[in-house]
Amino acid sequence: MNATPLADVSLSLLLGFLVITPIILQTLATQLPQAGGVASGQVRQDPRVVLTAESKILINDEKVSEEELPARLKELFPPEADVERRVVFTGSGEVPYRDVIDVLDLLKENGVETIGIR
Amino acid sequence: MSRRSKRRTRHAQVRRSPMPDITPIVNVALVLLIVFMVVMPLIQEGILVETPEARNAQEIVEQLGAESLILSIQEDGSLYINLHQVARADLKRELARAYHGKEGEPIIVKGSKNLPYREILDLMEICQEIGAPGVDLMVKKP
Repeated sequence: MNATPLADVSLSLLLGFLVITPIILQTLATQLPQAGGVASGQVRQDPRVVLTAESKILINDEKVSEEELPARLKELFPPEADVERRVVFTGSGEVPYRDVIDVLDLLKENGVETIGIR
Repeated sequence: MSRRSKRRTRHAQVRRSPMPDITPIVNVALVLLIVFMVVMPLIQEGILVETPEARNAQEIVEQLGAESLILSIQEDGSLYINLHQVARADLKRELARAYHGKEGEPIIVKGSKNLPYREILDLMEICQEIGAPGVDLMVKKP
């Protein structure tokens, strides 16, 4: 049996994998406040989402449970409204990073497009 | 074909194979292939950090060579820019240097899930100071 083609194919597959394999990174994108602050023309205030040191979620200073959050966000961003769904997130330094990601994940899950970090 | 010549050909096949036996090479190549397929995702991980889990992550696909800037912080607080460890005191200077030429791109922050959020906030602040418009928080799918 002539195994040369097989060796060729497998070696080039190997090379192919080495070169082509893309790196796939899973990320949650956030925005940082920019120097110069908010553009002066901007009227709309983005809702503020706060994660307190006690791991409570506040939306515009109102306490919201994880179950209520989807409904509250729907109120803030009606599905028919054509606005950028942007919130500003502030987290207490005390909470574990894991919990912060959980909240950001929850926001993304409920249709928030852009998360600004303050 | 005569009986004699048939016997001769069979004889030649057994005794003098024109090709060297390459089965071991094929074996080695296939094993390498499988090993690389398994190990590749681990190599790509870069600095080993236990990132938090999120279901709604977006995927950034990048080819080898066109790397974005990855700032990693391990559970013990040690900092890495891509694969190079940096001291906390030098972080801003080193990060600004690494960020040079990538202006306008977000920096990828890879933080251990067990850190207090303050550590990540500190990194974000530095990213902001060097002019990054945002950070992408690296997570993994559960």
